[in-house]
Amino acid sequence: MAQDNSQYQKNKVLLYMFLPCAVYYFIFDYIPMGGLMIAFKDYSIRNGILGSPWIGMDHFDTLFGGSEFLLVLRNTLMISIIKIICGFFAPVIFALLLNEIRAGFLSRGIQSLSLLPYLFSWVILASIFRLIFSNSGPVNEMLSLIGVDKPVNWLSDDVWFIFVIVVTDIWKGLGIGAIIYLASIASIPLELYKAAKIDGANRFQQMLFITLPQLKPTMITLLILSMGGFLSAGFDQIYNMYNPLVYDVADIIDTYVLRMLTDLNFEIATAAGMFKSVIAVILIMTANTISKRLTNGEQGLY
Amino acid sequence: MSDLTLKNVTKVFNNNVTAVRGFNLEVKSGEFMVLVGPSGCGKSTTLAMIAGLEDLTSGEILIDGTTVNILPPKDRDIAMVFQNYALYPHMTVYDNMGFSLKLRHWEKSKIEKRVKEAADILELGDYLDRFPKALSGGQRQRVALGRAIVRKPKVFLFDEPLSNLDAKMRTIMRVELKKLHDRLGATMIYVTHDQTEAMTLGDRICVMNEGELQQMDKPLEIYDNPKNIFVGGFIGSPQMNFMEGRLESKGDHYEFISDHFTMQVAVDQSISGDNLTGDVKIGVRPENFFRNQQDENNSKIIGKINVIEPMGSETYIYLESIQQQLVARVKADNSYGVGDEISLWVSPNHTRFFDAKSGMRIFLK
Amino acid sequence: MIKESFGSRLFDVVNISLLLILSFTMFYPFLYCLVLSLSSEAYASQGGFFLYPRSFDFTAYKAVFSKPHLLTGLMNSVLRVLISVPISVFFTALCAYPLSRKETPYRRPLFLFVLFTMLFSGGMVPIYLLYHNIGLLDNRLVYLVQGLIAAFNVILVRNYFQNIPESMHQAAMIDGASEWYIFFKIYLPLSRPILATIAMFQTIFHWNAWFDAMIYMTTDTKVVLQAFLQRIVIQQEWQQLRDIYVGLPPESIKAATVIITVVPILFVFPFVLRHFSKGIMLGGLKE
Repeated sequence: MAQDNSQYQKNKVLLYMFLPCAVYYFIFDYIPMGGLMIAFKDYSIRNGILGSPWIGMDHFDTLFGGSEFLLVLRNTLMISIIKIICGFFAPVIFALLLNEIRAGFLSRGIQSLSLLPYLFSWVILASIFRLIFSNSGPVNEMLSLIGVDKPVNWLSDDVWFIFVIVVTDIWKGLGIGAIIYLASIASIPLELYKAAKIDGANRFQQMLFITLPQLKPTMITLLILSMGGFLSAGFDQIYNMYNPLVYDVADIIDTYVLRMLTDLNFEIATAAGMFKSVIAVILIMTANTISKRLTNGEQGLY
Repeated sequence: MSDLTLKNVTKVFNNNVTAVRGFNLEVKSGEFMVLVGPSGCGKSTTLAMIAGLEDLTSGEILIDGTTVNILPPKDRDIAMVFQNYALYPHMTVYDNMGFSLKLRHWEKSKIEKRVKEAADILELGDYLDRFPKALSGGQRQRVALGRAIVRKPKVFLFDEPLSNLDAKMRTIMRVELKKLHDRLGATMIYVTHDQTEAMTLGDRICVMNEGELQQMDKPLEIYDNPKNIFVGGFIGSPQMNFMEGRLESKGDHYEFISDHFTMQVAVDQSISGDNLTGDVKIGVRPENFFRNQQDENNSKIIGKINVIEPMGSETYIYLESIQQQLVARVKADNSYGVGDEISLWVSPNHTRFFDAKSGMRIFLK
Repeated sequence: MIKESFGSRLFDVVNISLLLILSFTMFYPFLYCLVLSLSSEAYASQGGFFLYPRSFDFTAYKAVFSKPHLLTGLMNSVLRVLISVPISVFFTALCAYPLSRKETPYRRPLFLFVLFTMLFSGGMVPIYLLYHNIGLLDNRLVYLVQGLIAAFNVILVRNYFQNIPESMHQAAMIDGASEWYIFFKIYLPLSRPILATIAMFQTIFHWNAWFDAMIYMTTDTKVVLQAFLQRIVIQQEWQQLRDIYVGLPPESIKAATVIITVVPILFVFPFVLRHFSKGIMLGGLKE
């Protein structure tokens, strides 16, 4: 015990270094978590959080009882699922295809260009896309050139809107997503490819048996992490690109919470937000456990 | 088993670096041929060209009389063992060894037979279900060997396979490789920078330097009769001692004059040709310095001992004589001390003469 | 010459073509915007597919600059980045250092303490109320607080610290250095690559942030550039400009605003290129 104590004494300074950060996290991350109490209270600004009375699950009942939240939940799930199914493999495939280009300047140039969209916020991109996908914009113009007469209502039709959302989201994330995979690919020893060539593998087989297995761990980690954002469905993007005509499909949990907030309906907003966070944590932990089960305890987030 | 021929093979890289220049080689069927030389001498590039991993700039490579220049590696019927083993990390040992057969769409039962065969030879039977990361370096190397054996190829290629093993493992694997060669009777091309491996493994050795073949011969022949200073200095450990001097004609024989000693040298003119007078370098192997004068034509050299390395079976003595550093291999006993003066005797029979300018060997008889 | 199969060469042609087309779509939207911003009414209202500007009409830019809050927005954004990024990088490193040392007491719980913030959050309302109670509303300091010590960044830096050879630390200890000294004089200088990467992440984050300005600021002059853009384009505040600059197509106004917001961030682009893949590798993310 005396030994323990001196170790602690010696290393106390490390804790002092951590202290300011601990204070930051406590004030700005953990205290708000305590504020989740609002979801269970009849909150009024006058009484403050602690002074307001408890009313149990009433707000959650209102939330799930009404059709508005359920619609919003449906939209969120639908958009998230479509985004993951369509978008999860896109950066991987892009990375693999980029890796097949042998001219270094070409692959570096393409990779550099693909990083452009990452720099810009959705405010900028949404502004641009509103111009590009407008009725007289270049996309519709190109379509008319190949024979499609009527301009498509990309941003005001329910189905097309989702299409644009998913495609532009993939477009924005391609370059930055591929970098992580390209870093993994770069660490594969070249000798493996030489051995495979001698064994008789063609380019496709080399990709299948050497490159792809190397990417599996990274893919799993990123998939688990993406579970955390499952119920967010890309608020930034959707808020800047939607309009009342597509509220039916584009209203997601976060836009709903924002509306509640502007209406000063604090309790419902908190309840909805809390629902989102709790489900996200459950999803991540479940995904992590599943991953560990399937890979004999090797592959997981933590 | 097959023979391998290289005709005037040259490789120039894009930045105008000539890695291999006019290499001619004939490897007989079933022969173990070693390519040895320092880093950058072109041996690995040559191997890569034989494998089909590199294009030739000019020249021809033939296996069993067929030119294979334009064929990709998988059509050349060769197998290769790499320095870093290059095992597929996500496949078991069994799958690693059977991969090439699987790609060729062999039946499962046939693959199993071949893999088990190879596993038996290499004593890998217990490890077939393991993954490479669960194996030691020596075991991984055997799996890499197994992958090659399974193919029963025309030619085996080895690219410094033992360099990543610790010293003890290296010695063991060297013996295993030799036994494997005897057992399979296969044509093997082996690249290494380690002259001990070259000497012990090769039926014949090619010593390379700066892209060119210096000498190709049986190991002992190369050791006793190096063709130039480079070969003399590269093969043999500790390194051959070189001393400068001059050959002067003395009528029926020549005299070698140097700062250290003079030596009378008998010459057979029909072999050596006329007029050998000129500046020369002589080479004397460490084991050819003797404590006692063996013969009256021996010459004496006196030096001061700087470092003594007792190897156990013998002792290496590093001495300095008139600012020339020399190494001698002498009997192991405690009679030497640092700082002592020591006399050593050299015989002309053990002395090799090289032209000082060109480095080429001067054959005297 | 070793013969390459036909399929292989065909694949190369198709692959490169596809990727080149893809690259084109990566920068075309910005090109379109640029052209649009420089176009006069007649040309812009035609709509269509622009590749190069036919006129160089800067009226749209004049209009946008005349809007009162553009310059204050720009200044707020620049100040925000210049102040928040270095402070954030410093505290991120300060947080990562104890977490990277094995001898830190309670290391594992502390790490989970940090990691948890990445997984769970109080949500918009409690945070808003907190800011209200501390006086951060309508206060530029709220910009500093956003993402100051992001758990993700802490993990990256921690991994990098862990990859610094322990012998450095041991040698310094033997020389008699304190942990503070080692942190400042050894680990920080050695971590330039990962710190640059974090700085890049934070710069892009702060420059592109608009939502916090929108809900936490009530004074127009405290708002950042992106929020300004948001108002003009998304919330359609360009109407007022149209009345002043008659004949200016709305698309040109919107496009000009976008271009003005886009140009500053392009300066960061080379840094992104240089540091991103290095940073990912250094932070051990690919493992």
